[in-house]
Amino acid sequence: MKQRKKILLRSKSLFGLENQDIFINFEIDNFSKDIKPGSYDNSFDLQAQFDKERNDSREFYIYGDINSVFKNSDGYVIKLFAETKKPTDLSIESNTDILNFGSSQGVGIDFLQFKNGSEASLIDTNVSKKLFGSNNIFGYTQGAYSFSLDNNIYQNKEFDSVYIAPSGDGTSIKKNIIKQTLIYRDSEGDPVDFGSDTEEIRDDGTSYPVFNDFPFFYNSHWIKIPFKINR
Amino acid sequence: MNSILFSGSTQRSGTTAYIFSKTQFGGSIGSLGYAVFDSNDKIQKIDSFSDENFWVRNEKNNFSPIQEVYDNFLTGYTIVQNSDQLLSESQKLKLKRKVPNKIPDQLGKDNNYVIFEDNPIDDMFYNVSVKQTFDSLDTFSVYNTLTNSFPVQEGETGVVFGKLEAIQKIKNVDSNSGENLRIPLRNVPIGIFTPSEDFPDTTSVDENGERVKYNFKYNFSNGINSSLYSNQESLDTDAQFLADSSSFSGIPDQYDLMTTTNNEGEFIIYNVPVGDKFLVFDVDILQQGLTEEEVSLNFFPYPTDNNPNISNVPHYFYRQVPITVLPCWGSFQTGYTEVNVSANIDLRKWVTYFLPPCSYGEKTLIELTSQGFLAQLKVQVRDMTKDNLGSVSKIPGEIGNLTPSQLVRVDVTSPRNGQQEIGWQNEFSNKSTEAIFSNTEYNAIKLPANIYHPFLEPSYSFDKNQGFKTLGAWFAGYEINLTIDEQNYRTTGYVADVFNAENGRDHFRLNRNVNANPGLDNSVDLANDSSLDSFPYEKPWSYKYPSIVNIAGIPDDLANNVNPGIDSYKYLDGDKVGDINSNSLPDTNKFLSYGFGLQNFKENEDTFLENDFARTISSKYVYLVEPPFSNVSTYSTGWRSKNKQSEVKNPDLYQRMEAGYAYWLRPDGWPKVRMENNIEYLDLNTSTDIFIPKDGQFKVTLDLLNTAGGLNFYRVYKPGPNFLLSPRTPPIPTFVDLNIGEIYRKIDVSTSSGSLLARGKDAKDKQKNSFTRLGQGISDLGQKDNRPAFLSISIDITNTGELPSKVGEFEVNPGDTVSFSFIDSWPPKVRIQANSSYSPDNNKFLGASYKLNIRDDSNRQTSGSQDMDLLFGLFYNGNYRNIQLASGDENNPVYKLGDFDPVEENGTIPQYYAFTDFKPVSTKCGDRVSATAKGVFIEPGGVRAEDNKGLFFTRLAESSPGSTYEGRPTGQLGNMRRNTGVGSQFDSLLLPVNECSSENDDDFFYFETVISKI
Repeated sequence: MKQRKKILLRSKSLFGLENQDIFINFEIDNFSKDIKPGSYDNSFDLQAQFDKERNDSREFYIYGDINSVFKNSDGYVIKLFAETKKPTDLSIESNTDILNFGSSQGVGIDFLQFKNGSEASLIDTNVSKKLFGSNNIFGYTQGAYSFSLDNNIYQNKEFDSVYIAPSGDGTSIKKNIIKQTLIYRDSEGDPVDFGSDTEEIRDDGTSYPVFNDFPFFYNSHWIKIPFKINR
Repeated sequence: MNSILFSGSTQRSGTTAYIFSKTQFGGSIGSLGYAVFDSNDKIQKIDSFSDENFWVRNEKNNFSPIQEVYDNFLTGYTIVQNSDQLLSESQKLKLKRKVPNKIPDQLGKDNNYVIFEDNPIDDMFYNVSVKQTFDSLDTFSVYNTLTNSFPVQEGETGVVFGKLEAIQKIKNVDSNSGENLRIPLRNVPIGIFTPSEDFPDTTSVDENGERVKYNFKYNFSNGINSSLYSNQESLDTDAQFLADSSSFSGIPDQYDLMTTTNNEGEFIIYNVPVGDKFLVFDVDILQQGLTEEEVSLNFFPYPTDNNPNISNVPHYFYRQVPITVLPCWGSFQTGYTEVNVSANIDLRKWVTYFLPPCSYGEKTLIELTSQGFLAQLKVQVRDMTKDNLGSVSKIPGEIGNLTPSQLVRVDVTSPRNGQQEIGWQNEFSNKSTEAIFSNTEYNAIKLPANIYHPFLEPSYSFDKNQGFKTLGAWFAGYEINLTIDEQNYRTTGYVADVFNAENGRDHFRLNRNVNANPGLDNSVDLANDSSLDSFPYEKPWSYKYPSIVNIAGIPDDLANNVNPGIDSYKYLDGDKVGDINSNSLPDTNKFLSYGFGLQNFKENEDTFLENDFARTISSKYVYLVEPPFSNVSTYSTGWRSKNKQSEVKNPDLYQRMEAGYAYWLRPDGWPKVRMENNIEYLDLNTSTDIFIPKDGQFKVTLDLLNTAGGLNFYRVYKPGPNFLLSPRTPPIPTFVDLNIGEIYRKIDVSTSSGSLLARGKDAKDKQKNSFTRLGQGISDLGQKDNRPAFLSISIDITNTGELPSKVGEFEVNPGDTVSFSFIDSWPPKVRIQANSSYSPDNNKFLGASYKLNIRDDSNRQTSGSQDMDLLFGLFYNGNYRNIQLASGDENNPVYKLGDFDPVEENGTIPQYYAFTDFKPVSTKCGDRVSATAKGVFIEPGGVRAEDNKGLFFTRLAESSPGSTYEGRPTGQLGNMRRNTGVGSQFDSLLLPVNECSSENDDDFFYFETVISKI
């Protein structure tokens, strides 16, 4: 399409007007024709990449809401213990009954001994925040908590499981402690890939469940553990 | 791809001269510049260095030292001159000559140079071409191909949020679209149904057949959060049904995903598993501000069994809504799931109006009905929120059309509904414009709230500390008319004409649209022009029209005078009635109720009685919640605001009453409350508009004949059954026996005057013979002096007491008389029932009030009339001071005595005797006129001299010559002697005139009456 436009001098359009300079900016275009057509084929295996990053990561983000039938759940101190010694009595491996607890610093409980032979020590504490919204139906506030375990923390300790427990005396810890396995291991002792939802068979034929299909993003495993405070 | 290309050129007009010199020009003009030559040393270009000296742009448009760009150049100085016109060749030569050093045109490198550049201007044409360049798409392609699968991650749970609202039956006045009002439901358990062992699915019930309960008693330190309820009674009701979480150690599964709505009805539920779920909510309507009786009216009645299934309890509104929950994060469709729920839950509160008992022409409605008249008290109601206020078709001055409202006609005599504050059994709402009553009781009606103020705090939101401050208050916008005959009435929103109190205007008749002071507008009849849509009837009333609605405060600012009597005020900020702390009062002033609930006797101002107000409405206090508009309307004491010394705190000017409460509609003309001696009571002697039924000393009725006026709203502080005095039960009948003993009359004097007195010189002796004994004497008193007995006498006994009473075998109404003849049945004896001096403490009458007239029926030995005005009140109470004239006139006195000791009929009835005896009385003739005994009252305590028996008598004894008794008032017969030391009381004693035989003769008068208890 061509259009021809005539631009009149001002003096010619109206008597008495003076001519003025006109400046027009022009774009300089390169015609695409100038570029040689071509195509490139890329092939990606996103799943493999995802699995690789997922299994390489030792960062965990443990979070959840807190609720209680008898007290407010915001401003609640929660402790995170790392399992420093694995269960020796596998018949009660998943049992979280506490045999003993104590305080290495003299302030607050910071290590636990379980009946199954495992031990755990305190690695972090957190104060819950009030969950946006209303109270629960028992009239108490709802809370939320989170723990971030980055590579440094994990690499320094090298633990497979953590325990979440309320701050307080041994009784309240016993009633409310929750165990969460982060790294499952197969019979060879090698970590089971994340994303599994299976049973592993031990050499003696017994089995144990594996569930580590934790959501993974931002290079972190996101583990949601709702935490209910029991009376 | 399309691109638009422009082509063309433009330049400045005129001629540009570029002048170059190796040496500086004279006057130091010009700038550093250069000249470029071709290989033949022909000048090509003259220019100045622009930015960097000796640097020029190269082929690539970059700056470089000039020697790198040009091979053949000179540096020196350059002048560039422009002319606005094209220079001719001759002009160019002239210019050259002006250039210093006489610049030749082309003189080689060592000389100066000038180059002219002509820029002719003419019309310019631009070519604009739009080109399609599709092929640019193909220029470069990248193909990304995925192998294996795309790693999909997705949350397993979602978040559900939304708002829970109740749709109301009234319109939202803040919305232009005419939609119904919606009220957010606060503190409602809402969440996702979670299967549990006990309740595996949504229809599961437990072993008792109960569905899962979601409303709990809160474990606050002080128990249930009382601020959620409008009153304690509702809390108590709810506590029977609320679940108890105290036994839970943890949160049971079924409550895992439950939360509560906030004050705006909003909720948010976390961790909800993705998929199809049921949203459940369980509205506890009592926690939305309603009471049990209001729930019954708005929904359905409560079940009658002792432990009703919660599904049958009307104040729980339980619903399930199927929803689909989306994951809150993930690769595909994600987000928070919004669920807004609107439920039809009628949250209207109700208002209760107590109305005064009414009579008509000094007859109760029951009496009128028994006489065959249609005696009905009409309570008419106008709903001020209906949308046709201004266009109500009516004849001027009349009521016009009323739009029916929901209305409950309360039978206040029916039992209260459990422990609810203002509920009666058998309440049903009807659609009606009026309620009809035909009794002598206080009556009540209930009306539903029709106005809602969304931002106002209701009265019951008293505990804000626990975070449940309530916003949103209900009001009842009604005007009420009370009438029996349509002509005479009491009405709310009434204002009297200052010149003519009967010519009032009121909002009920919609004729207050001119001026609140209609007397000033007598010439204007706009008020009765039904075509006027003028203020305040332009549109339906609401919380913001005709004014912003108010909740009046309770007066608490005491004025200096806390015992203002009547016609004054006690508080500076309103009228509170009956709020008395009796602890520090003397026992005589300690009562169970004060104010409207305590009244005196019209006959005896100093005797008080807790009345039916305290038994029907409340024994606590009430307070005025509107300014007294009417010119006949006042505070309860009769005080009318003139200079605003006292003003009601925050009143509503348009009778919009906060719902959920009871109001006493005090009529104009009601007796004033007297505030004195630190007590407050209804003074029955301060009103002429009332009538006291004969059968009810405990109440006052408003006599609605020939009167008009206003009804004033008093809010009842505590109308609950716990604050009512016990209902009145019939008093336990008590009796005395009246024995008629020796009754004598004079036989030689005409009885037409009723005189009982002998006179004359020998009166003493004559008297013995001239008095004739009526009937026979009491045997043990013996017959005296051989006086002949009358064979027949009659006794008229008139009930002058307060209630119908038995006299002998007859039921005698107050004011009625029964006659007994005793011919052969001596001694005459009548058993009479106590009928006065009611004692609330033991529910008995402790006194009797009768008039006794003894007549001679024998017609023997008499001349003239046979009637003998021997009139005695026969009473005994051991306390002479209580004997007093109660009513009647001189010729027909009615005496009322104080307490005496009647007993119940199965006990030993005390025996009282009446008889006459006489002794001569001597006075000086001529100093006295006539003597007439109109009544003699006897005090006990004396001992009869003759026989030393326990008799009670009073006698008119000998008087001194020259004394007079004329005109002596009752009880002041100073010359009377009481030879036994007891008192006597005469109504009057007038001695006869001109009947003395001689000036020196002594007259003797005999008179003696004795009542004897043996």
